[in-house]
Amino acid sequence: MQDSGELYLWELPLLLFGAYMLIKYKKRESAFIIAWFLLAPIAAATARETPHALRSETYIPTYEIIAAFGALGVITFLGKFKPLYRKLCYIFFGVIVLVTVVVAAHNYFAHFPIQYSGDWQYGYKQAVLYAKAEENKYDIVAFTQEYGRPYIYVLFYGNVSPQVYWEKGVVTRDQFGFYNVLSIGKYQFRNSLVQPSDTGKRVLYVGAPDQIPNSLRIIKTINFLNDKPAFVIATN
Amino acid sequence: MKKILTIILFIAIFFLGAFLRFYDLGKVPNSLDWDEVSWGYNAYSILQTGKDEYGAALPLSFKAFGDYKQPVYVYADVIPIKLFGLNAFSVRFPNALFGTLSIIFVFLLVYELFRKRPYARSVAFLSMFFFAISPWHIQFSRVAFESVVGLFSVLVGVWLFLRGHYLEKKWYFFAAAFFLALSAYSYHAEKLFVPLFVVGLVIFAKDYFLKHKKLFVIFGLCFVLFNSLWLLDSRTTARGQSVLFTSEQTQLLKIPLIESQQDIASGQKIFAIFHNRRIIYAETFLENYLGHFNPNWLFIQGDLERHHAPGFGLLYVISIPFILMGAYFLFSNERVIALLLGYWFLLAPISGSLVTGSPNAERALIMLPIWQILEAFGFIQLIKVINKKLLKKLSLILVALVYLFFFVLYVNLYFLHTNTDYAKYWQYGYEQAVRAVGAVRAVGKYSAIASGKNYETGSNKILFAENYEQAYIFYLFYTQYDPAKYIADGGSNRITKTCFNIGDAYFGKCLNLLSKGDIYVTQQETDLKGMQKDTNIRDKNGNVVGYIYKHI
Repeated sequence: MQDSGELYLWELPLLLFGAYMLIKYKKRESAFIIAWFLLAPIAAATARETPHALRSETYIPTYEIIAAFGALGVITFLGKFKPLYRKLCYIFFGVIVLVTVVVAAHNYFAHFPIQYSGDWQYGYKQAVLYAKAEENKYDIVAFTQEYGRPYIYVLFYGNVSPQVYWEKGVVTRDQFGFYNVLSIGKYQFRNSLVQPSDTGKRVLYVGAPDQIPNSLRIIKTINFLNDKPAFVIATN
Repeated sequence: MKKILTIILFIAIFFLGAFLRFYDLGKVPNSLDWDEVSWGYNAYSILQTGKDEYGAALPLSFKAFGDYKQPVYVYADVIPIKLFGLNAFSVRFPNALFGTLSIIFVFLLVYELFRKRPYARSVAFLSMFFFAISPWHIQFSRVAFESVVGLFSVLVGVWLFLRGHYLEKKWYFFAAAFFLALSAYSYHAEKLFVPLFVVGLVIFAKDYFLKHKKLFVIFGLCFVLFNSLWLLDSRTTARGQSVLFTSEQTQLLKIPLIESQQDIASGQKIFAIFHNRRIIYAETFLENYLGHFNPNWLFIQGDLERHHAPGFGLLYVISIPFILMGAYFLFSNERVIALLLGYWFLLAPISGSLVTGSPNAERALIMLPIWQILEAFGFIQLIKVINKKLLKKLSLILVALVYLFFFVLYVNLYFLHTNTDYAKYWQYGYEQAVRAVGAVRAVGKYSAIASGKNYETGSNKILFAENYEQAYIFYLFYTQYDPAKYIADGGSNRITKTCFNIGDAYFGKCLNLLSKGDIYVTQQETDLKGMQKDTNIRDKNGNVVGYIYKHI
């Protein structure tokens, strides 16, 4: 989720208090949890694109354990209060937790899929299915590389059998050791979509909105769920 | 013997701090940015005429670029300019001076705070030392950014308050009220911080004030009175409002607006209230606020290029364990002091969190010297914890070496690389452009760089391209334009968004006024019609920093 963090805000005071308690507790368990907490991000720190929530998932229970420690401390602390005040505190905190969890769930289920459909490569399925249905009419299907690794979507949604892929796939390897698929049969995966060699051939272009020059005839536009254009399909 | 050692140590730290702030002052960073030039010229104008660039007599708020600068720095700059002339050194002098004096007050403040404890002196010395070598404080002490003067007033004010509380002397409280209020006339961030912090100070000293209720009333009245001058000045508060993050409403509320519409459309009206602007504002504030504790910002990256040395953060990486230890031990061993300093620490980022572009190291400068005090307190614990003598010595030497490593790295990056890596962020090249134009006018040609190329003087206009932002103030500053003459001609009131001139120098969108023989000065090469490139403006090292074109 891009408009909320990885943890609930109410976990912050619990975390701080929990860390304090943990150090004060001075048992072997504290050292274990603290070591876990500090060692968890090491692998992720050596990679590009840090911090990366997925690569530091090994973190997750440590935050919760520390926060739980903090909660325990808070409960002990509230033990000194009169029962009425204590109950009021529990209700207050309970309501905050309930509301934030419900709101986070709402945002996740209601808005996240729509707002960030582009980050989940929405549109590939629709584009590939369309291209597959129409491919017989064209000599070349030129697919943009703009959204990253289109070949795997063509293989997956196009139900291309591995046998066919091994025979027809043209593949190179880049400086980082990643494979880059240039074409599979009449499907070509291009960085610059329109190429001079296309003249005289029937080409179906599947590109990002800014890659389609005015000279092409636009057949179809596939939008992200937030209504911004994802793919523009055109022909010459 | 011990006393002499103490004095020597004090003097040594003080001079180390002074050296770091005064060495090559005015040369690193190697050019003045527009705000610094504006401070300088307004101070020069006050010195010569008693009026600012708009002709306002001894103002309490300097309009400058419409940002209404606070008065203290301008007035503090008058004497250095009188003594050393109008140049980068004198413009930056007040900050270097008050930054250096702040080192002393950090010592006094911490000593007063920990009074009667056996480790009072060591904590005070260590805080003073960490403050003296603080990259964060050095960064702002060496340039004319008013936050350093603001912090200085706060340090003096808080020290006077604590001292008065200890000595039970009345006049200390009056002086404290004066300095605390003065900080608001130095820097905007203090306007919110200081009144809130004073509440904490009063609670800290509540036993004393309960005994002397009259004194409390007088202290409170003085404080409010001293602050009322700026409070009643709507122009300063308008400036505050213009930078609030709520001014970027459209951007901020774009997605929440769509989301609330989606909720209403899908029949989940109840959730629309969570995409409400108040909640978004609260979230934005929290995001900004918590950003001030982002280790990446603090220890690695900093924010704007003008706010840190290239490749270095605001605090030393090696400080991290000591800051954490300091926070822990202060909270468990010195609860009262921890509460007071913690209150300061948590209040400090508030002003900066309300505005756009947060966190901002200048607006958050008031977080100093808390980081350093925590670090010092943590450091003391290290010394206490390790009992075995040899181990203690070895670990101290090791830690000292690591500190030395980071310090040398910082000094290298700041003093050698700021000028090369970050020159453009300090508006390098503006001075050279104005001087080139000056040379053209003085001898009819810019002989140093373009020997033999003659410009007609007198009748020809000189236009500064719009890519020189706020060029007029650089022009006034570097030509040492007579403020009396400038004000008599209308001063900065004549500035428009289109085209205006100071004598034969033109600024803004004036291209249509140019005729044959006129000069066009620009930072970037241009292919404007009728312009012929005449010569390159070069700096001392021969690098091209601008271009002079001639209208044909």
